[in-house]
Amino acid sequence: MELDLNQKEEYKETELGLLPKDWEVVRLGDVGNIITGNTPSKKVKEYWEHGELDFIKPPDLQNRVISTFSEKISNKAIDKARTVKEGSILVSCIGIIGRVGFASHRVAFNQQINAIEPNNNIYPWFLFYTLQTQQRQIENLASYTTVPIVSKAKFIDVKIPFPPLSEQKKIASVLSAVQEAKEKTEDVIKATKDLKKSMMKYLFTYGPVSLEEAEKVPLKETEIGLIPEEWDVVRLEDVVEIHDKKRIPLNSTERSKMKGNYPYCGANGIIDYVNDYIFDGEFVLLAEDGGFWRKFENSAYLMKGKFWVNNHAHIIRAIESNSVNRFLLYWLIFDDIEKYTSGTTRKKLNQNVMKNILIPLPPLPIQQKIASILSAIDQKIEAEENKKKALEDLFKSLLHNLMTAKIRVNNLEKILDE
Amino acid sequence: MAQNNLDTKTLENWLWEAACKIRGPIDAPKYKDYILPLIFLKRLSDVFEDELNELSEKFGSFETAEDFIKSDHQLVRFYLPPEARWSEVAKKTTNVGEYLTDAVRTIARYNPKLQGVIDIVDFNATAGGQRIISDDVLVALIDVLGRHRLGLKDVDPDILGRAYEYLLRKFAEGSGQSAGEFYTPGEVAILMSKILDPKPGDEVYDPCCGSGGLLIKTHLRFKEKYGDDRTKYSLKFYGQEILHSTYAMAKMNIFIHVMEAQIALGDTMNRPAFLTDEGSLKKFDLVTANPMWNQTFAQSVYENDPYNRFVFGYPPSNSADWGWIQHMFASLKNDGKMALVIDTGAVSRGSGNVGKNRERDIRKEFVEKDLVESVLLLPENLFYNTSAPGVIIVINKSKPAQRQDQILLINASKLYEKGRPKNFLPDESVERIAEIYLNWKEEEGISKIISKEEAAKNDYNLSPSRYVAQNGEDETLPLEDAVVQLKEAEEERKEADEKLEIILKEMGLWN
Repeated sequence: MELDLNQKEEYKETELGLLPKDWEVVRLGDVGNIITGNTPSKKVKEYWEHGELDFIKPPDLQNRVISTFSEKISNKAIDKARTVKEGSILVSCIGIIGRVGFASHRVAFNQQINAIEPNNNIYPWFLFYTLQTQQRQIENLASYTTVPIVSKAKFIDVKIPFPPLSEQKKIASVLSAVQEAKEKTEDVIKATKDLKKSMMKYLFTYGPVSLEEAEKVPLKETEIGLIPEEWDVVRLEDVVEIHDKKRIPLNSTERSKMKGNYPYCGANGIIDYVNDYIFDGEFVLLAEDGGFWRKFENSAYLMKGKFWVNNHAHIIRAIESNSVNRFLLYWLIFDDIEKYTSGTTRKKLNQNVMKNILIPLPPLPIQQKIASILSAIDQKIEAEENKKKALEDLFKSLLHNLMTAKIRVNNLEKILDE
Repeated sequence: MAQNNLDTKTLENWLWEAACKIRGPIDAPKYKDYILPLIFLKRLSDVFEDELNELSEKFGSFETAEDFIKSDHQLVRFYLPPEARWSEVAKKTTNVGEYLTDAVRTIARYNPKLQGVIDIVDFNATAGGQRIISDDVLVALIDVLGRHRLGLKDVDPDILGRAYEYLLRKFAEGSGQSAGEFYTPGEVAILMSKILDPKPGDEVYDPCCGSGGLLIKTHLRFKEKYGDDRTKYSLKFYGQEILHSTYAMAKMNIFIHVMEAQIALGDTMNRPAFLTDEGSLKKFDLVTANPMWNQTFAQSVYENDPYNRFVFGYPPSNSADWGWIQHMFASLKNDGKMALVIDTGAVSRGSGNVGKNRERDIRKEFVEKDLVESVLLLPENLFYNTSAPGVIIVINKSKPAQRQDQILLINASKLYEKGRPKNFLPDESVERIAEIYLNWKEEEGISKIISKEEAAKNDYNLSPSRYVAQNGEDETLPLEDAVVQLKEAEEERKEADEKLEIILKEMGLWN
C-alpha cells in the first residue's frame, strides 16, 4: 500500500513530484470547461427580485457542497449571467484565492470565481479534493495589483495529478468518508451546545430534578424569572470574595521580557504566558470590558492553579460556605449580563454594578449538582471538539498522502464510489 | 335541546367525590378506567329511559313500549335489558362486582357495536386472591355516580370527554408518558378544529385518535357552523388507536355524540386500518392528529413500507415526527388539508447543520413543494405529559392562490393563562389565533408571513419564535427536544464513523 522502494520503477518524476506511472499530470483546461463568472447589473431590480437561481460569491464557499446561498437571481437575469451545471467545481480567484466548492445543482456565480464544468474523464469529487492540495500553486499564480487576481488564462494552466478514473473515485471516496465523519461530529457539537442551553434553562428553573418531578416543584416568580420556591435570590457580592485589587496589567513589551508557562488572562480567556503568577487557586474571571455578555455567551470563565490576570477581567471566588464557583460561572453564562454593563461604544461592567448582579441561590448540594451536570456536558463538548480536530488532521494527512500517491487505494475493493 | 345542567364546578366536585371512593385500592392514573365506563353505563341507561318514556307516550303505556322495544331494538339507540339498567344495578348490595360485570357483558351481547367497548373492565377482578375493588367500595361509587341524571336533556354529549379530561388532568399527571396517553387539551383541539374548518360531506381521519378528542371537536365545530340537521349535511369520521382501553373510550365518545364514525383498533404505522379495495391507503379530506412526540421506530418500518408513504425521506429512528406527518400526508386527498400537534423540534431540528440531516431534508421537501401553510407555536406547559410547548403544523395540498409560496407563522407562546398544574389557552386566545390563521393576517409580535425563500435562507427552520420574536423570549429548545436532536446527530455520526472505520481498516490504517 505504501510506497515500496522495490517498486520504485513503477513511479516516474513529474512536475508535481514522484507519481505512479499510470498517473498523468494535466492542466485544468484539459479536464473541463472553465468559466469565469459575472454579475448581472445590480441596477436592474427585476434581475434580483423573486430570485430563482442561487448566485454564488466567495464567502458562500464554506462547506464541501455549497450550501450557503446569500443571493439569488431571477429568471429574467439568467441570460445575463454565467451558470454551470450540477457537479461543477467553483474556485475563488480574486481576493481570497483558492477556496473550493462543489455545486449540487445549477448555479450562477460572480466574477471572483472560476468554475470548472468537468469532462467525463475526471471524477468531480476527485477534482474537488485535488484542488485543495493545489492552493499554494494557485496562489503563486496570482498577480498583485491591489487585490490578488488569478486570471482565467492562468487558471486553465493549473496542474493537477490525474490517476485513472477508478482510482480517482476511490481517493475521493476515502476523503469524503473522513469529511463526512467530521461534519457529523460538527453536528454533534452543535446539538450538544444546544442541549447545554436547554439544560441551563431547565436547571435554573426547576433545579436538578427529573422531568416528572419538575411539574411538582413549587416555583416562585422573582426578578430573575421563575425559580424553585426554596431558592433565594442574592447579590453577587453576598456570595463571593472580589480580588480585583490584586490584578496587574502587563503590556506586551513587559510580557515579552517575562516569557514563561503561567497563563496570562484577559477579558475572554488566556492571551499569553508569563514566568510569574499573582493568583493560585480556583477563581471565576468575569469580563470587565471587551467581553461578550449576552445570554449564553461566555461572559465568564474558570481558572485553576497559578496564573496572572490583567485589568480587563474581574476576578472573584465563591465564599465556600454558601456558594460554588462553577455554579456561579454557569449562571453568569446563562444570564444576560449585558443589561448590567454601561457605555455605548465600548461597554464596561463596573465593579459596583457587578456586585449587584442577581444570583439564584439554592442550597450548596444543589449548586454542586447543577454544576456537575453542566460540567459533564462541557466535557462532552471538549471531547467532541478534540475528535473533530483529530479528523481534520487525519483528513489533511490522507489528502496529502493520497494526492502524492504515497498511499495507494487503487487495489482496494471495499472502497466504493460515493 | 341539550342543556348543560352539569356546570364545570359541579362536574368536577362530582368526579372528585367518585375518585375519593376508590382511592386506595386503585392508583390515581387508573381512576378513569373505572369511573368512565360507569358514567357511560349511566348515560346509556338514562338515554334509554328517555327513549322509553317517549315511546310510552306514543304507544299509550309503558308496558306496550317495553314490549315493542323488546321485539325491535332498532327503536332505540341501544337496547338495555331490564337487569342491566342503572336502576337495577344501583339496588345491589352483595355480589355487586359480579353483577355489574355481567350487566355490561349483557349489554354488549344485545348491542354488538359495544363489544370490546363497554365490557372491557372486570369489576369483579382479583389480585392475589383479593378483590381489587370490594363490593362496599363499588356500592359507594355507584351511589355517587348515580347522583346526576345524564339523559339527552340533562347534559351535553361532551360529558364523557370533559370527565376524561378532568380525571386525566387531576390524577394522571406524570403517568402519561409511560402510559402512552397523549390527551390533547380541549382548547388545543378546538383551535385545530377551527383551523381545519370542516365542510359538509368531508371525511375526517385521525390516525392516532386516542379517546377521539380531536374528531369530536371537529364534529362539534361543524355542528356549531352548520347546525344539527343530519339529513342535510354530515361528516364521516375515521380513527385508529393502538391502546385497547383508549380505543374503547373513543368508541364510547362517538356513541354519546352520535357521530358517523369508524374507529379501528391497531398499530397505524405498521397496519393502517383504512384501505381501499386495492389495498392502498384510503384518502380523506381532512386529517388531524396529536401523535406521540419523538416516537421511536426501527428503520425497517420505513424501509419496508408497503404503502409508499415515506417518499420525502426516512425519518431518524428516534423521532417518528416526520414519519407521522408523511403518513398523514399520504392519507390526504388531492385537495386535502391536515393539522397536527407535535413537538417544536419537528420544525427546527437539523436546520443549520453542515452535513445532511434527514428531518431538515424532509422538511425542505415540504416547503419547496409549497405544502406547508402555517406553523403555530403554542405556550409552554399546556400538555399533560410534558411541560414542553408544542406546535401545530398545517399542511395544505391546495393552498389558496394568494397564499402560494408563503407560510404563516404564528407565535402564540404568550397567549396563555397560568394554571396549576397546567397552563391553558383562554377562549379569547383560541378565537384570536384562529382568526389570524383564517384571515391570513400579520400581527405585530404574534404572526408573520414568510416567503419560501426566507424559509430557505433560514435553512428550513420554521420555528415561529425565530421570525416572530417576543419580549425577553429566547430560542432555547425544550430539554426533551434538545436530547432528541443530540441523539439524532449521534446516530448519523455513528453511521459515518462506521463507514470510515471500514475504509481505514482496509487501508491497513486501523487495527
